[in-house]
Amino acid sequence: MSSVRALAGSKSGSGEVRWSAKRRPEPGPSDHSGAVRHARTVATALALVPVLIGVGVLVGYALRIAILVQLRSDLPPMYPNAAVGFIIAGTAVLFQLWSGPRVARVAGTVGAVLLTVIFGIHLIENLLGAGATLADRLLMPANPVVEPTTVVANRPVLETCLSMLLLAVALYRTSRGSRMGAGGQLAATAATMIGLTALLGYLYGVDRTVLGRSSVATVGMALHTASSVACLGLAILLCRPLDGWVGLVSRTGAAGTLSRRMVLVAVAVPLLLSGSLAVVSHVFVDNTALALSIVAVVQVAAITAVLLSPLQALARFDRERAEAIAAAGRSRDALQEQIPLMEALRSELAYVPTDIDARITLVSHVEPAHGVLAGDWLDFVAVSGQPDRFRLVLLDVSGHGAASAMFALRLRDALLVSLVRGDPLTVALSELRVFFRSMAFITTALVVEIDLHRRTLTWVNAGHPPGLCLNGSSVVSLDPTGPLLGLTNATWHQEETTFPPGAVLISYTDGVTEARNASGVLFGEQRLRRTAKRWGPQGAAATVSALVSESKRHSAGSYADDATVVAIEAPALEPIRSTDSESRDHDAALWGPAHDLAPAWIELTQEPSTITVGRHLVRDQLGGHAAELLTSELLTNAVQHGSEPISLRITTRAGSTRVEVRDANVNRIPQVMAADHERASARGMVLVQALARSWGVEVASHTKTVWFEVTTG
Amino acid sequence: MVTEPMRLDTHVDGDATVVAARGEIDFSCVEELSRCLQGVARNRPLVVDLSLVTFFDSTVLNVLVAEHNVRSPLTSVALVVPERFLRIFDVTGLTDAFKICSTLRDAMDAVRDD
Repeated sequence: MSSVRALAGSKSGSGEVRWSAKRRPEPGPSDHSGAVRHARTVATALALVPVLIGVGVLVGYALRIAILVQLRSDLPPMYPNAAVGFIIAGTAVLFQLWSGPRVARVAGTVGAVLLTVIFGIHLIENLLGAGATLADRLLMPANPVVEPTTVVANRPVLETCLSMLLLAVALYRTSRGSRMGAGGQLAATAATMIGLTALLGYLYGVDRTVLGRSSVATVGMALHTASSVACLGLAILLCRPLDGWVGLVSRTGAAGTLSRRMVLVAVAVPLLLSGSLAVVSHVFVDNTALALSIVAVVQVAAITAVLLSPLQALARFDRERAEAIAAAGRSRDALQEQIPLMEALRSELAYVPTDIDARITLVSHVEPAHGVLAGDWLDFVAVSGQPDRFRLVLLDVSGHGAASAMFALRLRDALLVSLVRGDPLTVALSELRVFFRSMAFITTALVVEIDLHRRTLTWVNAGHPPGLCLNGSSVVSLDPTGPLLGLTNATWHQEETTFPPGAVLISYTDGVTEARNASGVLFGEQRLRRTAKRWGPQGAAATVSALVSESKRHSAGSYADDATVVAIEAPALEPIRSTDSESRDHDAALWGPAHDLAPAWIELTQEPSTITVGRHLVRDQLGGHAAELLTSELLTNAVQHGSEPISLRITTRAGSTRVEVRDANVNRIPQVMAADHERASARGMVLVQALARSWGVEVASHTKTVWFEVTTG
Repeated sequence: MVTEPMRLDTHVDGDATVVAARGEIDFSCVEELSRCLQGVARNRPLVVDLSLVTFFDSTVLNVLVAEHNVRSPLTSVALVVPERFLRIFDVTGLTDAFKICSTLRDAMDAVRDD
């Protein structure tokens, strides 16, 4: 038996593979991942620039190599305190890029504090116009390698201080987590702008930047200072490439492409404009009118040229979109052509056997996995010439779609012929072997013969989930009696159990037990058995209804795989000879199980799921909306305000049906309240009053019964 | 018959919040609907779309009335109710308490007129 279990296990295992293969590829954490990798490389390179420049300048001071400190004698030098600042800032940025969050946080905070202290003091000194201070003397060598050029002392100019303070803010914000926030991004952007302004000043041959005062002695940032500031600002922005406007630019897809090209326009246009103005005014110093006209023409040409790039991108997106829409339309048309074929297959497989014999109550629920063709199939036939022998077959072909549906149909036709003919069950299964020569769908089956005369169940189970025979508190499991279908040289044996009056036979496919909840927990055989055991005594309809609603509740409403549940009730009375059955047909249609007794009270528990199960029972018997609605109202009252035991009875007579709900709380009698559209309760009995043909309450010593009657066709 | 448990989908359309329900709603799951309605912004009109609901009972009416009472008179609740359920509102005297429309578009127009 253990080998059989293993085979059954491997079947559901292959179900897993099939399912994961069907699943769409997981979307990545974002559509940026490529950009993130590149951003880290570029940011590292940018952060290394100020560190190397800073070290170079310090070496220049130490070894008195003037060119490292002051690139040319007429250009401003970088001061050692600025060099120290760049080394600190660059190193802190490298920590943000390459170390874990805790180290990065410490490095960012320490770097930001040091920068704030050094350049905060210098900024105040600059603003106050103070003379050489302690800070300057501490950091400036006694006999400098270059002459100080700033207004007052050997310290960085105002804009250097300001940009370093902005960088300190940005660094601090970056070290606080995965997002730097708008404030941090603004600070880093502003510092970058200051650095770039100074660099442009050099490019255009103006050595005073926008921020530099126009005083004669004031000289702007050193060339290497400006480069370092710009590099640091960009490096910090690239530490968080998914954030804010940087994230917009680093996106893939249409939005990203367009953003990048627009940024290009935003950068190129002003540069071209100011550059052309600088050149033209330098060349045509004497002829302002000519200069202006040339500038105007150059500008028009330049702007048009750079705008072409985003416009071309837009045109391409339009074209791609049109192509995608056309392709989607074509595949939809192709699908439409297949629909009639799929519908034909679906209706063949969804056939639910009914009316085989008046003595048999069979209730089934067949549900394909959402929107696809099922490979489950169920049938119930009488053995020809044997009035008391019936055969139930439940078959599960792995996979969904047309191929597995066709395969299930071929197996069905062959199997039905031999089952009706009365072949032994084991022979019927063995003969299916021929179909598995070319196809490899994993298939399980449970075939049960019901003998009403002997009151027995005989079964052969080919790797299928065990059926259950419920009789009072005893449960007989119809376990596998051999391997899956289609294995070469497979043999099965048959087993037998009794099927006494009142017993219920349950069979299902693994789609029911494998219904998963959000955290992946299966509904499972244990839960299924518990539910079946609790509802079995209430009959086939109640059991199927409860199994479907419980397993669906577990999986929040949908099955991942095809799910089939079928239940058959053993006749309660002595088996009726089939010659009598015609005269019983009328009663059978009215009363469900074929006997003359009034229907039994169905025991219910005092929990909300009872309401769902109860009204489904009424709906399945009566259809129609009103009876289900009113049953829901009575059961809601019983569950909310009544007390156990709670029970339900449905009695159908010609043209009318009475539904009764009984509970043990005799102190609370339902009443119809006056219509009040502001009261948020007690509308149930208003509905009963309005929609039932008649209703009433019967109070006995320990029970209260609320009933209603509706007209039924 | 295939039964479909309740599912809720909330989205914002213009000024209004739309809560679209589908499947069957009874006492066993009405609490979820109630929480959902309590969770949406109360300074905006609310449209509850019942057109894909296959079953509901008076517990749903109670939740809708409670929500209406909390919002009234500042913002309104409009309902999209298919024809087959109109009688439930009719016999409980709730037809005039809500703006009851047959399509989502009508309901959106109704709340926009406020």
